[in-house]
Amino acid sequence: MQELEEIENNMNLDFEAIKNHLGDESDYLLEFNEPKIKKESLHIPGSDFVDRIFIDTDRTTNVLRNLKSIFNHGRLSGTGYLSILPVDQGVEHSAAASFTPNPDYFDPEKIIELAIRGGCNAVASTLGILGAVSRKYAHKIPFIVKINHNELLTHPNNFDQIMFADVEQAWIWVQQLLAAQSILDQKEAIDRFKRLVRLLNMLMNLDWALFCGVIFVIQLSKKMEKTIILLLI
Amino acid sequence: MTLNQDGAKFGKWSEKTYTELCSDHPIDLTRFQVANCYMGRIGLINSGGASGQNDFAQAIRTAVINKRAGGTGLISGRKAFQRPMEEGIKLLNAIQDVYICPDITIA
Repeated sequence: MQELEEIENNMNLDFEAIKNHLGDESDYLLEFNEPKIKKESLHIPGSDFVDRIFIDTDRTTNVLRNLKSIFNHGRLSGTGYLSILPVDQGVEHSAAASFTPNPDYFDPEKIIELAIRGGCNAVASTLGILGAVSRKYAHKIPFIVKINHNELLTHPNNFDQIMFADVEQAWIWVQQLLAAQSILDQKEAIDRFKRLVRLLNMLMNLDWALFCGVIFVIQLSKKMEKTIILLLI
Repeated sequence: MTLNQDGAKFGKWSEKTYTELCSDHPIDLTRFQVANCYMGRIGLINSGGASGQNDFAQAIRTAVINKRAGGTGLISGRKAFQRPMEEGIKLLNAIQDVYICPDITIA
């Protein structure tokens, strides 16, 4: 685990450079110091986050170990912060549409390479992408498997979330966290919610680290405006 | 579409949510999300969004807001991989630099 001073020495952008990127909003964002909810009410990130916060929870030792390994990897190792590279576009948005700007990323190894060279804490992707290179890389950078996706196979698109991977399959090949994402529409919300809860119970029994819980994307209108609600487990 | 306007009702809400718990400032709005994550016991990670014209500036802006709100980090996909790898690495590093920078504090 690097000391924070060492990490600071490796910074590419210093405070002035970051301010330049913020432009006109620099003072608006950096000078804001009257939040409605005070910082003192919060449990803030930090290098001791797992030992300070998760030690009190019902998570197993395996989960704590997995969380620690994610926090302690990459350029943000030891800071308590996370920079994750997520690539589910190969399935969710159609690979050809998403990788046209840089077709190198049709190759799963290139995705992992970007995450490693980019200094990320972890790489999050589909079972297929991670599984294609897992023996070479799963011990080099934490893997996060996204097991369900919005399927675009049916016509017209109905934005249904279906399982593309089996939990046990992912357990054998790749690990760390499981990410699940669900779109709930008004009619089927309850059923999907129940299925997702059963899935999450299965994950807890397998000692998975469920850190951020599950992200629900709720379709609020025909124009697909979405609200993201974090369901906490 | 905004809920609970013009007479439509959805779920439960309180006027004070909008006056006492958050304002229009993006850091306040994001902090409201952190509060809803068991006051930060579960980390809030924001998304970097789609790629476009101002990816570096937007990614840095999102990171600053997330960090100052008390969030735990960012995911960044399309902004990182819909460009040459060397640029993608720089973009990821730029986001990380926000979190490393000690002068960017939690509000």
